[in-house]
Amino acid sequence: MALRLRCKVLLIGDPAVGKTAISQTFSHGLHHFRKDYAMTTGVDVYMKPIKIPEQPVCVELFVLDAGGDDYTQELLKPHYATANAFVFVYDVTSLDSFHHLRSWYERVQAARENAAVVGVVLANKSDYDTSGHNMVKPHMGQEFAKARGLEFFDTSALRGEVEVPLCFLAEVFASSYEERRLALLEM
Amino acid sequence: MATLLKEIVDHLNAEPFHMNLTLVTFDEKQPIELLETLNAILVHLDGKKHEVDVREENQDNMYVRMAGFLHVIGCKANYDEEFQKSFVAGDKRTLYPIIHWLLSDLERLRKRAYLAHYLVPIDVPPEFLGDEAMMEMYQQYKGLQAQFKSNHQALEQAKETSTNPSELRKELQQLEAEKEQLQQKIASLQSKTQNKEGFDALLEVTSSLRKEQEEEARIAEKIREQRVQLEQAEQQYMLSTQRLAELKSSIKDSDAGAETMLKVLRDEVNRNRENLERYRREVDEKKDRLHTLEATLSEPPVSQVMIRDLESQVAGLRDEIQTLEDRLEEDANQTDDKLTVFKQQANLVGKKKEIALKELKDAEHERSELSQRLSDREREYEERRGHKFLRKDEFKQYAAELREKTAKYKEMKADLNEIRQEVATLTRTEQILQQRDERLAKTVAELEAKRGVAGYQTTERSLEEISAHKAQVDKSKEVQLDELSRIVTEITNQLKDKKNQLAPQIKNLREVRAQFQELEAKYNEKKGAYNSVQLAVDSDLSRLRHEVETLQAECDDAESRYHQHNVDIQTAEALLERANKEAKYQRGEGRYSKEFATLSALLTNKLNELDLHSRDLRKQQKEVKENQEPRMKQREMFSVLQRLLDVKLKTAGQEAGGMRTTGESFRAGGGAVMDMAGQAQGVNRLIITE
Repeated sequence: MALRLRCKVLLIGDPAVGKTAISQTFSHGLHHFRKDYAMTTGVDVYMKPIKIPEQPVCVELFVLDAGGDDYTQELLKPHYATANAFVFVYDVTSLDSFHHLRSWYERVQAARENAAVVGVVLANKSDYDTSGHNMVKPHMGQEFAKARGLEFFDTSALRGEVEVPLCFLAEVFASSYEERRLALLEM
Repeated sequence: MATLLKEIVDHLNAEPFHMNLTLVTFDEKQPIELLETLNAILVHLDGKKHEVDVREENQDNMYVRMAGFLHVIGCKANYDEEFQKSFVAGDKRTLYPIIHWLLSDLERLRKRAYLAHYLVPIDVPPEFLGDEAMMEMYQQYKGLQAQFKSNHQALEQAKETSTNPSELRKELQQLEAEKEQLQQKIASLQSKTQNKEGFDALLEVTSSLRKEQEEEARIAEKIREQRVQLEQAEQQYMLSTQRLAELKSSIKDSDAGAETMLKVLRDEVNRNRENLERYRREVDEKKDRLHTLEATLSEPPVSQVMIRDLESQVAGLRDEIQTLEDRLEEDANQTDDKLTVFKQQANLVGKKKEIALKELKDAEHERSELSQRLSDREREYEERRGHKFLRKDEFKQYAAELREKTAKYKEMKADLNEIRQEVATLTRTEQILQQRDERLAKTVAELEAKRGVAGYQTTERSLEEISAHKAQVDKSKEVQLDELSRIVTEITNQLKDKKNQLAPQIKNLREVRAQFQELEAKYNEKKGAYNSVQLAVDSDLSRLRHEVETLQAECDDAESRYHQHNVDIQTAEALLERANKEAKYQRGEGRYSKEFATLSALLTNKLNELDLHSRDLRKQQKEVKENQEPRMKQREMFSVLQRLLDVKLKTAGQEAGGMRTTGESFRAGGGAVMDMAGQAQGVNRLIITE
């Protein structure tokens, strides 16, 4: 009987950076990628169980996806304090979306008070060529992530390259759970 | 107050008042009745003074009487006017504590009242004591009081120590009654038995029976004693046997043999006997000493006077001895004259005896010397002659022996000669016989040769030998055969025995086999049952397991759904809050933000913006669609142009490089190449047209 853990993950970022695409591709697969854009107005919850390799543990990832507008992101606010991990998404073709990440991060940090912000930074739409100007260069995203103790990943919902960062989050969650359990046992 | 009341009522209901009161009846008593109760108690304490009807008594008198008495027996109260008033009025608050105090320690107070009757001092004013008669009376009174005190104390002590005389008397009476009863019984029995015949015999028999019973008891006692003795003896026997065993083992160990053992034991016995003797002597001595000591002890204790007497007696006896000795000496001197003759004679005889003794000694000495010399000589002789020196009788014996031996020797020699002669004749006969044998053999051989059966004799001899040999072999064979048959019979016997032995076991085996089969059948049956049960259980188990798994999966699903719903609920709550706020904003209570009064305003604004934006974008799209083809063409042309320019740049660079080299060669060899370079420059020209 595998141990079942539950991890709440919030997707955070500007409108139209691809949060909904990432969560849909992650939970249903590549064929669910939608070519047209539909603005997310409420909050959607996607659940996917992830088996941790070589361990009898299964982490159920609850991915909360809300629209990037201020008035829809408001709906995520009650989850800021209780979420286990955060996914900060920016669009490599939009410098604005990258610059806004800073304020997103600060908002989350303020809501969590003392608790650390665990999470990843995703440079989405990496299928685009980033050599042109007005593009966010990979090193920028890496520096942003490093300064805040987050992991950096290139993703492309179009190519279905979204599994890796989320699985990474699941594993981190499982290992931190195990550490805490052992610490409690020692006590 | 209630407990006080209760205790009072309890005491009044008990000995010695028996008033049969209840709490209520007691509490409802009239003052005068209360005073009557108090008086009753006082009567109990000190009868004589208080037997008065309280109802008819003067109140003042009553108070003086009762309060005085209470004061004497030590009741604590302040005897003032107020107390008097309430007391006379029969006030409960005053009387209850007094009654309670009186009842709580009734016996002691009674004693105290009794004593007070006699011991309360009479207060005599000192002016009256001046009167002589009065003084005398007072002194007498004091003396009587003291006497009373001592008497009372003695009485108390006597009461404590001695038993009650009335009890003793009662016991005495009882015993006397018993005695009387017994006497009556005896008398009745006697009167009954007087007339019976043969009563005396019966009495005798019964008395003898009783005696015998006593005897029996005594014998039983004796038996018990003897048993104990027997046990002791047995123990001793055990010890002895143990000791014997030890000794035996020691004998075995030491290998010393019975002799030494016996010797050791004898020594031990002797030693033990000596010890016994010694102990007996010691016992006797001790007994004597004991007797003397007892005698001395039984005598009256020796006093100093007696010792002095004895000492003087001893001194007197010594004096007497002295005088007697003196007298003896005197007597000796007187009788000396008669004895001198005898004395001289005795001296002479003694001297002679001494001389004779000396001679004897000398002779003995000489003798020993001579014998010494003789032995020396003998030794010398031995050394010289090699054998022992023979004395006369020894020699005689020797000669007789010699003679005997020579006679024997002669006899034997004659025998020997005879035997030798016979040997000679016998050898001669043998020779003759051998010759004859040879001759006979020869004649036989000749005869055989003549008759053609040469070698017959040898053959016959060998035949005989063979037959003898065969007989021997047969004999051995027979023996072996006998042996064989014996062995066979033995084997058959053994076989039979074994069979007999085995028969019951085989029988047993058969039974056991039957049992085994039975058990096996049972076992198989049980196993079948077990297997079927196991199958059923296994199927049940797997079904249950499956069920559990599905339920677990369901549970997990439900759990995750629960979490999802939780998230949904939170979201819904946020939405609800937003809707509530929006409703407020709609009613005009507050604003959504600085720019917008309500969210819907914001949303409509956003919608409009987006509408505009989309319109713009559509326009752009249209434009893009329209201009895409020519622009693509132009882009292509530009790219071609870029390529051309690139090529040109490249060639220009090469040209510059070529110029440098040609310049160098020109400086080296003249201007022959210049024309070619000028031609190439002229060709490389491009015109761009729209």
